[in-house]
Amino acid sequence: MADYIREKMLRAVQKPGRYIGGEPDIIKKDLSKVKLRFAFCFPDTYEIGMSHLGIKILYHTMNSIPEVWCERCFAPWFDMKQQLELYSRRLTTLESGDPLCKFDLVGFTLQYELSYTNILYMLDIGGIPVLSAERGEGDPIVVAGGPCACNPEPLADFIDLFILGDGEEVNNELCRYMISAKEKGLSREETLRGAASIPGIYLPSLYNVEYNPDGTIKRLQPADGAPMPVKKRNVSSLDEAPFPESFVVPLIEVVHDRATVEVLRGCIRGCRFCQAGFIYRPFRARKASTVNRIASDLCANGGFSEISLTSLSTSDHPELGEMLDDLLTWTADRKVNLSLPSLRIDNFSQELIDKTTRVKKSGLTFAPEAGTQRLRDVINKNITEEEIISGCRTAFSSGYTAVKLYFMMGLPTERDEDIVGIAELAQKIVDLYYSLPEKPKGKSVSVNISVACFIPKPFTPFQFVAQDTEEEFRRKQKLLISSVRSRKISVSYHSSDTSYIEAVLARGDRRLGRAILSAYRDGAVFDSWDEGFSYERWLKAFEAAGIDPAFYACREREETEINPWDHLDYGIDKRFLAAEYGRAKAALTTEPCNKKCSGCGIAAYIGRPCFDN
Amino acid sequence: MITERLFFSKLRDMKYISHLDLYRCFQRAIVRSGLDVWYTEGFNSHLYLSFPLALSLGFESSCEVADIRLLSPEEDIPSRLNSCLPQDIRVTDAAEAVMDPGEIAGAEDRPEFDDLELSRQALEEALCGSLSGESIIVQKKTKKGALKEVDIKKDILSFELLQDSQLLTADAVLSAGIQNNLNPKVILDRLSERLGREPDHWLVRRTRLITKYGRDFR
Repeated sequence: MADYIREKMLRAVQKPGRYIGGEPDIIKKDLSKVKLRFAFCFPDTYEIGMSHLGIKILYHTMNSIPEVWCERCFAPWFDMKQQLELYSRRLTTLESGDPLCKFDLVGFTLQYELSYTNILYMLDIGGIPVLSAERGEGDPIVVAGGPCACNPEPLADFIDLFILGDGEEVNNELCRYMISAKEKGLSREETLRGAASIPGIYLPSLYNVEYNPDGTIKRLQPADGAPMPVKKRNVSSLDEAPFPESFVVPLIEVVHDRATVEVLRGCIRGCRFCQAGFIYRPFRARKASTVNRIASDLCANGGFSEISLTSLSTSDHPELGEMLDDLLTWTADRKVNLSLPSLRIDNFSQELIDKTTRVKKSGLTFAPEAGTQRLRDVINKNITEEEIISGCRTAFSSGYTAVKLYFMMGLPTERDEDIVGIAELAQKIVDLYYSLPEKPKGKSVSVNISVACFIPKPFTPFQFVAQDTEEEFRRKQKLLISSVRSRKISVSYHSSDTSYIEAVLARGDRRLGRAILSAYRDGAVFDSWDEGFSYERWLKAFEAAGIDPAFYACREREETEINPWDHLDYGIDKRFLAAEYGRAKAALTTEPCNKKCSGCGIAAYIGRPCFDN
Repeated sequence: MITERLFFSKLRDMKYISHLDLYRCFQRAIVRSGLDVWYTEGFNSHLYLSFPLALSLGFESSCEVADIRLLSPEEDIPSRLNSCLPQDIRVTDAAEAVMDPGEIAGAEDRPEFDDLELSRQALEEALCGSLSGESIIVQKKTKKGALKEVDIKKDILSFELLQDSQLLTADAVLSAGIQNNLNPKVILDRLSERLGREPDHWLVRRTRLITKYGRDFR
């Protein structure tokens, strides 16, 4: 008999296609030959998760081991949540349709702090005790990796093991280790202890944290034999790192529906606010020829009409010209469009525009990040106003009429003139447009400025910084709006509420676990969505847990203070970060890594210089 | 240029793939299959793909139709597409289009029902009762959003119960196409109205597209 309830549930939700799987290229395995089952969970909707490159790479690498079956699972939207509750059904993976509680390993990717409550949500409806301490012998081992794992402490109560750094190698090592642990019949405790000896695996329960009366960390005590510090993993050659030849192609429309090739990992720029720019070091490039082969395979196997060359700064690729030329030999014929999402305005050229828009013209976005040169120097975003203007001139001359500019507010040392500077810069771009004789005829210009609230993150030179208070953010937002005088300029900004909660979680410690649990128990899910986020609920949760959120977000930290993440080694020296912060305060810039090594520590970590010069 | 007509089935979970998503799914499969197809020549060039009759979300079908244009004759079209399509969308046949899509006048649908609380007989009585009478008046939304009463009796070209089926199943031929089109969901709606709720299980599978002369649409 067909599962009537399942059909009822699928008919009751708005987008049933999110929950059915069944895509071409989905990987199914014979359970009798599978020794380890891994549920790869993305704590957001199908459309968001299926746009993420990491899950595609790791799905492919883990499934390349014949006896490991990695399946996908996404967070059910509110309508499906209601159905699951109504019929007391559990969250299942898309491949086998089995509930999460039946898996050996359940792994989450930590992409943004506001997805944390969704992890609890998925565990809970997947039939797994939310608290690590409450899991027993039959329960899955819950692991998590990704960028937010660089400060995993707020999740220490819920996640059994964290995976630090690049996942391609360590995930497979963990899977193989788990198979042997199962075969040896190790207990849960023994299995976890053993896993902690795999480089890159962090078992939080092995570390005891003591606090000072003022709330700061007094000391962190590792158990006998526990590694200290715990080092992140690093794929030494991106070019040789595994990359899928085909993606699971979604049947419903997702956010990014395209072939994505990671062309670089790490970044040479050293922008002081950017966590990714530090935690993904060292800079590694995929060869132009490899990128071309992967892109061609992906398009042929997935039928994509767009290729996206992704990285933190694609125009820094040493072989960018060659790479684009290779791709352009076939993309136009195969009606494939090229997009380069992370371009720097300073090396944005006419040639690059011509190459990327041969098939179809897409929008242009630049990120000056700050409104004045002084503040751009503070954050080490080494671009000048002339470069911004000249980049926009190039864009306008080749027919673009809309430019989107990203900024942040609340940056260290920021003054009101820096906020006003954002509006002034936008105005200069509008004026530039009208001054150009070659501007597109009869069309008006639109300059869209998007302003985020700055959130200090671990492993950046600004990890010591106090975030602006909400009042300050609101005042600055008003100041910006009142400084804009042209209707050609539109301003959008992030809510300071969500940025505040994100800041608390980003630099939080283990004590935050109680607040996260309390927020979840009070109904918090999908906090990164307007439909889910409730500021009041979070404030209530902090109060219930006896936590002052401002302690984490709005307090300047001394270099000598022990941070919750200081025992994790991402190859970045804390003294370097402090020195960079000092340079920031003096508005001194630091050169990109390929020009001059700034001594961040990663070269020592990998045991060789990052660049040959 | 050849207008090639693809006949395909859309079964089980694939009934939850919307028309728009199905379009994208076929587009992908066609690119992957390497078929030599024609691309439109407008500003936003895309491969030509047209579905003569849309199927509502939630319905299965073993007789769906899609038209593509080939620049040169191709072999093994069904198997080449099937290797790039989801398991439960299968191209069963491909041939040069014979008829104009406007010739579609009816569709044979197989609605099936089951209920855990009602006997088959009770369900059968409710179903037949809900469709009896000289006229069947339903509320329909006009394009302006107002409600209008429409008699759908004339659009039920035939309706009979299948005797040897395991679950209560009907064989219904309903108007379909650009002239008159009756969504088979009305049968479920009528039944639900009579029961005061939806039955525990319903499933509609479209099995045949026919012209006004009762011939198979090819």
